[in-house]
Amino acid sequence: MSDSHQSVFERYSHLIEGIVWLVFVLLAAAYTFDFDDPLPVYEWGPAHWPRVVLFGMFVACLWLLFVESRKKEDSEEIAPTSKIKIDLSTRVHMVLIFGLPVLYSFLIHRMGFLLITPFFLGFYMWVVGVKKIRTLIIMTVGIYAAILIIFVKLIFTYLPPGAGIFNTINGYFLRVLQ
Amino acid sequence: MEDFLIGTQHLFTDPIGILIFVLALIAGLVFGAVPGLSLLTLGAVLLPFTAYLSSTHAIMLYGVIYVAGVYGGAVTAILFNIPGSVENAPTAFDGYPMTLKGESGKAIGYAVTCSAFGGTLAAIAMMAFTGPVADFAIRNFGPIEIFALVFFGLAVVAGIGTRSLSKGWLSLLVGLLIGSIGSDPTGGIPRFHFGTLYLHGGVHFVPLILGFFAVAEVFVQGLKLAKGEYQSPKVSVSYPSFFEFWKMKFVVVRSALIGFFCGVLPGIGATLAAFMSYNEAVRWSKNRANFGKGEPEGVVAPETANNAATGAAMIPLLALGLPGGALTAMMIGVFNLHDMDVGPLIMLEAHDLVWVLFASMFWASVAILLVGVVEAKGIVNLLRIPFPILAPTILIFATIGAFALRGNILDVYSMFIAGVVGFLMRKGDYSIPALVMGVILGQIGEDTFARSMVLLDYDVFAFFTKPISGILIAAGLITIVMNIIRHRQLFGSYYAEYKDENA
Repeated sequence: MSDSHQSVFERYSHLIEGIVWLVFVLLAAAYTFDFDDPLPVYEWGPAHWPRVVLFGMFVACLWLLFVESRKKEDSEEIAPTSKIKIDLSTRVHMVLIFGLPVLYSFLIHRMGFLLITPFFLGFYMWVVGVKKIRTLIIMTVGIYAAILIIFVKLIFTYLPPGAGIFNTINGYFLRVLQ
Repeated sequence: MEDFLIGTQHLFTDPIGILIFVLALIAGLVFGAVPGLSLLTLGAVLLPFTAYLSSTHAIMLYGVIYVAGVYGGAVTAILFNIPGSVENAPTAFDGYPMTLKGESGKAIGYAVTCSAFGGTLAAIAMMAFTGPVADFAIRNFGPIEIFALVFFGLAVVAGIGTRSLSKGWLSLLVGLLIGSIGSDPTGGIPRFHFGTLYLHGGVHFVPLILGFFAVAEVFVQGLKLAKGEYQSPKVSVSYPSFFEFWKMKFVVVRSALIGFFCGVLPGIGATLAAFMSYNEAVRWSKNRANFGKGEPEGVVAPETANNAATGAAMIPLLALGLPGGALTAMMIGVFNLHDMDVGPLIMLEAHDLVWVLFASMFWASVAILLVGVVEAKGIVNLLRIPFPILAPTILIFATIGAFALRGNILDVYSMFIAGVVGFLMRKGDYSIPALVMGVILGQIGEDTFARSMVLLDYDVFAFFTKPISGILIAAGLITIVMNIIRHRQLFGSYYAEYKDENA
């Protein structure tokens, strides 16, 4: 994003924020018409409570747009926001810090907890700063072993089993452990 | 008093009883502290084994793990922003900022001492007032009054954790909206399910809390690390002084009373107690602006209240057979396994057993103080674990905690989505405490509101025709107006200052 685009974005960020909220409120309000039939036990029906909440959100959005945005403009004039330049490697680093856990949450369903967790542990530790291979291996094995002892051996916690061939492998691994 | 002494004698003259007491205390502290190892897991694992114990040992075991576990969850909430259970969530609001300020020892010290005080006071009150309090609460607190209480709580919390009132309200209302996902409480009609069966059951608040606190915290610290701004929390083992405790006397007494009263209300218990007492601490404090930034009162209030609620939860359980939560429901199972029915006759039929339970909960609270003081000095050293090792460990524990709840992978997705949302909201100065309160109290609020409306013939103003609900609703409305005035004054003074500076 160029500097001029970035400054425009920052200048109108409160407006964009308020509009995003308003669109969200309107979409959610439209969705309430899917379930607004009255109930025999409660004549206001299942849509009443969400609509009251959404009306409250609508008022809060207007407050945010028309009252609080003035405050923000003033505070920016007094203390202009500092601009820190973020280089490409930092951006990649940030993407990995956010992306890896999200990827892990999806892979855990396919590959199962027991198979994917040691790889996630090691890779995430490397991403957030453990660079010595020996420390990385020792810590990964140690933490993984501790998790297996506590959750698999001691309290038999049900963990994501994976799908397809991975389900079979996880199941075999689990039987060996238990 | 004589009954209490006999209960204590039963407890401490029996070596097996002492052994079970100690093991239950340790297990409660550990299971309460680690997400994924909740008290309910411990209770469920132990339930079948209680058939092999004497009825006295079995009941005592559950009393002790309940008291110890509710305290245990505060430790991880304070040190790592990961509440061990829902009732410890408000402890993280100020406990973790205290850790970041290098006051982890003090925060743990407050939590230990106040948990012990809250638990001990509630145990004494439980022994003295089981009958009359249960009678009052059950007769006077129906859905109308509970909704009014929830409304009051929501009105207070909208003003905390952010400098912007509109963002506080938006956070709270988003929480209420998330709480309405699933099925409506009156007719079971699916709402906001987006065509997936998973959402018919609603979004469980445990993955949300793990996401908003633990995952979001890893993201926040990870981002600082990537930008080279990360600073590890300072380890402090300094315990609060007597003078510092003394300054908290009103907070402790008020929170113990709130905790005790909320604990008596069946089905709500320690969670509402912790959140309500936090709200009241905010409302009464002179340091209101410091809440959410490491205010000790923000640790003292919920920890006193949630432990006070444990003792109080025994009152409806024993007097009326009404459980205050899942663990107390398991206690009914323990009674049944030993051929006893809880209810008004239990005080006559199993008089000694009930007094052993009272005594064990009292002594468990005292033991928390002793164990906790020693533990507080050592446990803060967990902060010495480097972030690169802690971060993936926290994420994995949180993943296990979210999945183990219902064995549903979508709970893990919910947790990570909540983590990203929590991160963005923190960056945008939204209030996480208000959001979490909205989710938890919203579900209770909607259910009690619908039942109130049926009882009040759909007349909203009829809340004012009943004294308790009238006072609570009026107090909530006054709080909202005061919040608006306070924020406008803050804005006004700020704007005047700005104009003066630029004149």
